[in-house]
Amino acid sequence: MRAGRAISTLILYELRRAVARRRIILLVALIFLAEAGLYLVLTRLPATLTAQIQGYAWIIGVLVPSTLLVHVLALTIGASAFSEEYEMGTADFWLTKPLTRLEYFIGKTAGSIAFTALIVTTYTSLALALSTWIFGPQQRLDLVAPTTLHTIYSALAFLFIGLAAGELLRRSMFATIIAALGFFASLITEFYISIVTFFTPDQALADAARLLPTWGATRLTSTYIQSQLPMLALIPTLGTAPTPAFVETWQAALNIALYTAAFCAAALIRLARSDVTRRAL
Amino acid sequence: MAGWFIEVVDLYKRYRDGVTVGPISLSAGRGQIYGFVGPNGSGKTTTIRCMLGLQRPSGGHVSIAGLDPTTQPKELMRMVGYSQELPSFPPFLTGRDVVRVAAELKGLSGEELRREVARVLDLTGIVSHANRKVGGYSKGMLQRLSVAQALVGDPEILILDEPMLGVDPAARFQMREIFLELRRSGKTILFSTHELLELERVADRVGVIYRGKVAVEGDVGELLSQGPRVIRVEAEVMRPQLVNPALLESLEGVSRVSIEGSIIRVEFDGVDGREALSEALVRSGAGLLRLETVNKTLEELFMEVVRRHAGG
Ligand SMILES: Nc1ncnc2c1ncn2[C@@H]1O[C@H](COP(=O)(O)OP(=O)(O)O)[C@@H](O)[C@H]1O
Ligand SMILES: [Mg+2]
Repeated sequence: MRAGRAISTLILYELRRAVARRRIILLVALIFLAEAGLYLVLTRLPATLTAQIQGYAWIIGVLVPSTLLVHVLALTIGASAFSEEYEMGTADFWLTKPLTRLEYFIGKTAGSIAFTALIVTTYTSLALALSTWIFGPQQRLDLVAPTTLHTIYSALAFLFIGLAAGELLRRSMFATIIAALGFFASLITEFYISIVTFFTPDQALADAARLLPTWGATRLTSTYIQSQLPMLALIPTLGTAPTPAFVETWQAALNIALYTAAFCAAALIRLARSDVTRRAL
Repeated sequence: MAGWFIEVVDLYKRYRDGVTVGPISLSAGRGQIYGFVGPNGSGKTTTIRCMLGLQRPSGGHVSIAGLDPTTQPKELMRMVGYSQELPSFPPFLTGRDVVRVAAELKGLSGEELRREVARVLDLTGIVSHANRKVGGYSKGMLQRLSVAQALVGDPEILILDEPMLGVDPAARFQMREIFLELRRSGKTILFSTHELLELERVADRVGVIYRGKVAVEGDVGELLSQGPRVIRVEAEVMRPQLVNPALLESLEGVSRVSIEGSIIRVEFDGVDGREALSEALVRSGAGLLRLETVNKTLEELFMEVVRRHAGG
């Protein structure tokens, strides 16, 4: 029971920490701006082009940040969750309270996930509000909640990659850069493979692409929506390469689960086993 | 000896770059104020962090109230309040937030939590700054806040790493009063410092650490008494010009005489010549005002340790 209260204290703290971080707030602002910008562009397009999708405009507003930006946000949040406590010299404060390292880990991690979920929910709401305001009543609102959940789940992979980088390196800026490099390197590799396999079909190479960390994370939300709304398959998801083969939602989900579990374990082992780093003076 | 409340036995820590602290042994009784003193870099913080389970010792054993920090950290932390060296807290929280978070983690809630937070903020004298963001706190305020969050929940044991560092004299006085009050209520305090003066004023027991080893440990009274052979006496007279140093030196057992203004210092070796000295001074007509036996200061004790290590 006590452990539960301690964890909820940590979750609330983590939300406050995220809000106090300029790096994170900038990214959140970028997400909201991207969304507002997108709708601005849509209103400028000739009505003949947008007529068919007007009722589904909310989906475009959700897909834009859910495909790429949300992962950059998640890795940034994750990368500072543990490392920043070492940098601030506050790890000693937490770890000399009646709290196991596992409880500390759970609390901070749950807080990071909660903040990510909050941002996803907020931009989804913003997309709904803007699209209704600009294009009128929206269709298939039954998909709003499951789409949001899929996006939150998809963000876990890079959230935990960031977390592990932060806990291993214990420097928030360095960890953010490393995790972001991993993200973009994976995206570029994926893109490269999709081009190669487009010209010379190579099933082994295409399958290898599915092992990349971005493969699941950047696809899950769009694949889920396509599975529910086949007619939208025509809309290219911004930023992602053409899918090399038919993708099942569960395949993307499995990829995310594997990365999440692996990096969660790495971070937890490092936290449980190593000395608490003193603040660099 | 059995029955120590805090006991560290042959603790050592080997850092990755080869720096080794220890082996260190120290022990404190329940209800004592233990002063852990040594120059910067001698290994105080390393020892304290190993005692709290923040660092894993490379060898040795720690027992605090019968608990082992590596296997029973949670049980131990219920009993311990800790203030780290050069405290820092999340700059975006207020002082009150910090204490409240500490209180929540210690398992307090509701009215009890509210009252406890108010109590420690008041006790440490930071109430008037409690609603300000920690990011704007001075060193001295951070130290007080750190002690405040350590005191929350009224822990049995306080472990404070350099709590006087960066604290102004008035606040130091207040901090000492807090320590003494805690001892009166039966708490055990272990604090480190690199300033001897701080120890002499409050500690019951001291451990002097030098280059990663405990060089001297014992109860303050015992350590500072001169031992069986040497007696040091300080006298004050009205007319020092009437005192004949040669006469004093001729007294039985006198090994040293020094006169500085109206203060006369005499050291006896192997003989208690205090009575003879007072008679000699009275007879000289110098006007004896006061005569007392003086103890060694911690500083002298410390310098002996340094000399011994430098020589050996
Ligand atoms: N993380 C570390 N890695 C390597 N050496 C360290 C580390 N932390 C402390 N030391 C070294 O251990 C010694 C003792 O340091 P410390 O415990 O901080 O002493 P004190 O608290 O008495 O000033 C110093 O020589 C210091 O440089
Ligand atoms: Mg120190």
